[in-house]
Amino acid sequence: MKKIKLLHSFIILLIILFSIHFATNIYLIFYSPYYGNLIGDSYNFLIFGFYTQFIGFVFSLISFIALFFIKSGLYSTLKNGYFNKVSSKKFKIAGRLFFISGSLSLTWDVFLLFYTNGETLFEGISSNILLIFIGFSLLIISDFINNGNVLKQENDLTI
Amino acid sequence: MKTIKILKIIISVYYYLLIMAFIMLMISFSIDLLITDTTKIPKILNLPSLFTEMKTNLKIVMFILAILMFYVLIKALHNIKKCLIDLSYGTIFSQDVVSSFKKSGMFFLIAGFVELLTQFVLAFFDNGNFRILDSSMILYFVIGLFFKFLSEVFLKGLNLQQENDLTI
Repeated sequence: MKKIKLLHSFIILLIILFSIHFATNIYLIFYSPYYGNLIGDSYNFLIFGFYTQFIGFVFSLISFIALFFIKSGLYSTLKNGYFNKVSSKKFKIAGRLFFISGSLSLTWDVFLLFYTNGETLFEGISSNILLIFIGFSLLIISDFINNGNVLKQENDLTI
Repeated sequence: MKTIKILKIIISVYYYLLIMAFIMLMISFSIDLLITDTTKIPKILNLPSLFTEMKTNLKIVMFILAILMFYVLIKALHNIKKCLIDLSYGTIFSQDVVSSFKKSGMFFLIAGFVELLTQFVLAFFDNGNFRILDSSMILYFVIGLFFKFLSEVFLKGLNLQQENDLTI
């Protein structure tokens, strides 16, 4: 349980860090005259014009929501033990969200690579693949938690 | 089982990409040290400008950190590949799976610390910015802790299964 508590605390810390990150970004986009506010026709060079700066923000937001589900799943594990339906359900939702976020980011990075004729490097590819990997792992784990739950119920009934 | 197969494919792709990137890094670094005229280096083997503009001592430190990072990640993925093979054969709760998850978790945590160290080195010796949320460091820590958590879940499952088998 010690490791789960540690992971739970780490996820809470991440949620706090992400919240600060989002708040700072929103402030800089809307209130700072020098950050992200390009002059005149400069937005025409960007793929989605003014809205290009929000693309990464949306992907991060999906991961941020997934973090809440992981936190909730871990809390349920701490409260009700390793094998319970609630945590399995939460992990499944978190897995799907991570998978969506990772896949969209990967597609965006590949799109940018072609759009800039290879000038942008595959910097984010490692993180994107890791996100997809976390997503799939969570989906598998939720299945195994369900398996464990069945075993536990059988065990309890036998006793 | 379909999800496990897809995950196996993702892990394998990532594993071989890492090995390829490692080989490329070795070749690029050797070329960078041996050839001073960068125009003679093929574009595909060019190291990022952030790296080429560094002093030689710092370059060597960064190279060692990169090797360590690749080694740790390859080892972590190797262990995951091993336990995914067990899982795909239907061996869910076994000691091998538990120990593979434990090792993978440890390797990912080490990868997180190596990334943290790299960020520190860049921030203090190369006037770079210390990036927390943008780097893969957090992902490595989350994955590491998550695999440690998984090893506990699978250990608990193994105990339950053994109890169940004994009762039958």
